[in-house]
Amino acid sequence: MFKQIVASRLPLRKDRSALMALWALAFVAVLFQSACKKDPSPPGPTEGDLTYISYNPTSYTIVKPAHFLQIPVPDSNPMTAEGVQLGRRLFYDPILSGDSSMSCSSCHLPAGSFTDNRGFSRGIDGLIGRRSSMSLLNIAYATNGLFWDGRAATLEQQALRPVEDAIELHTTWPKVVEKLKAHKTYPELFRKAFGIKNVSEIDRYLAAKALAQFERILISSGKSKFDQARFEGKGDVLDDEELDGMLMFMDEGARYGLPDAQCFHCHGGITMTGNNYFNNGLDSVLSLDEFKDKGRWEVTKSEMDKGKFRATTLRNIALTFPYMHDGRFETLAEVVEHYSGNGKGVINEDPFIRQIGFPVVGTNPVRYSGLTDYQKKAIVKFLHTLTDTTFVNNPDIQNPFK
Amino acid sequence: MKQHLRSLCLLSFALTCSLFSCDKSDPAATVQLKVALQATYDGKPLSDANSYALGTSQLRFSRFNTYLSDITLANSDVEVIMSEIEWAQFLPKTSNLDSAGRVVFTFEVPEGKYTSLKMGLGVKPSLNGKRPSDFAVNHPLYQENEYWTGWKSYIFTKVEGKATVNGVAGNALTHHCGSDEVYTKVEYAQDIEVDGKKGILITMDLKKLMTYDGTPLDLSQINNLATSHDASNLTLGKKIMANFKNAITVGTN
Repeated sequence: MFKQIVASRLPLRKDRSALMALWALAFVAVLFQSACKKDPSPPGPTEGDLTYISYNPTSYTIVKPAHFLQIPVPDSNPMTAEGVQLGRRLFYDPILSGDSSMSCSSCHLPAGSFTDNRGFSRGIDGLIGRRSSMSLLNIAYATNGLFWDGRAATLEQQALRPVEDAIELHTTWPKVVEKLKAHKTYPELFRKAFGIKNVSEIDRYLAAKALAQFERILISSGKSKFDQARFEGKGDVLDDEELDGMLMFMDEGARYGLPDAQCFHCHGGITMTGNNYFNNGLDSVLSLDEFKDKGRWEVTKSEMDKGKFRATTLRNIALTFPYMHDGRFETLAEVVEHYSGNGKGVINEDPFIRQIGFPVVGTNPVRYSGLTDYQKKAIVKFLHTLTDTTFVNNPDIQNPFK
Repeated sequence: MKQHLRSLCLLSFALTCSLFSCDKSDPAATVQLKVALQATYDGKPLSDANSYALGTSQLRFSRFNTYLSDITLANSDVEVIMSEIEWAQFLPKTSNLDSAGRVVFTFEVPEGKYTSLKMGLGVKPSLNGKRPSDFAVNHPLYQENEYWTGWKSYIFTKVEGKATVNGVAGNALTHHCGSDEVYTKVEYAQDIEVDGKKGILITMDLKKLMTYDGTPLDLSQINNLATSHDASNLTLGKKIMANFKNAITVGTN
């Protein structure tokens, strides 16, 4: 029995080995199978996938004073709360510069009404630019070109430039985009603002769109002394000098015996800039080629555009010193003194430069008197009534990293 | 039965007639009509790079723009208002100009033969009573640069430049005209066939604008170099806008 048992066990043992081998094979097969099955199922996040983050953009209405014009917003970049939030963060984030030391806000600070109060702005390498930074206040209304020479047609196009400018943020967009993609926060913000499905979709154009959205909310509060006097009927907000200054500025003072200061022709409208380009009589040159900075000509190549620059907004002008494209005037008094001098007689000077004050009868060419000391002072005082501290202190436009 | 058949025939005849009459009263098909505006001086395209003679004076222009209201095609039966308001700027040059320096508007107009073009020079009072903030972005009247609070009016036309008078250069020329008082309606007799082939060319000649009954504007007079900024003094503005009709030529192209 035992033998039998043994005998029977022997073949059994053989069978067992075969069975074990079979089991092992089956185990390996199962392992292989399950290993193969792991990839397609169960579904998990692919690399860079952002679809697990909800995309529910909130339409954003730009707050503006009632007396301001409708704000142009391109159909291709509708305003959303998420877009503005992303743009604000990018605007203040040095991630956009080559050495992570500077951001857009380095040259456009709220306290200076989004200028840097320098004659010439400086970039990351300490290089000095050739023009001053322009105020971004009410920049949403600038539909006739950005920069002093109008070389960018839209805010979206403008926002692309400083990043790659060697004397500004001095880097490249591919490098910036890689940093944004690898960042712990930005991919989510881009997803929420623009609905991208994957980190790989982050690009310079979306960054520029976000920056433009933030810049479009930089709108006056409408609470300056000027706004109160002119649009809220609070005439007593201005003293006599300020009022005289306003009347001369607007060419409305004739009935009070005040001369034309001709300011509003170039700085007219609610934003106090027509966004046009002028030779405002700064330099005396014999030939237009002598202009050191040829301004608008660099874009149009039109001879008569040499030495012309975009008229800046005069809102918050007291905060945006120094003045002109090269910061040559430190004070508003110097600026008004310049205009009172009726230009230099250069061929493409704006004609109104030569008509400031009263015409002097019997002169040829007709000479204008310029402004008296009182009139100049009155205009400077009026310019100070354009100061809008509510705007510069608006918490919604401050540095979100502070 | 015969009577019913007759009634049925009459009914179908009446129906057929009414159908045909419906066809007849359908409005004419519309086609696109291009209306081009061109600024000239003495018949030649206006340029900011050239100097132009006006009597004994020499002129250089840096800005010329104008508003036109109710641009209308008319014949004895019908008036077709193609546009309620348009604004054209010739100088400084903008991207609105075509390669020939013209501002071109395209309107959808019923086909047909018209015998005149009517329009208002400036902004018609019903629109001029509004302000830029009343208009949508891209509307011709959205532009604050073209509005002066002193008049509570749009600036209907601007002509700016420099004049050399009696051999002396450097006189500024600034003619700005506005306010309801200077708004002028004009009509030009011109056979215009709208068939989708030809367009209309409206030429505005600054030499004609500055010439009155054959006499050039005397620029040695200070009051002729600049329109007054006393809002109540419209003397030169009225004179210019009244003469504007003579500076315009309407043709087809």
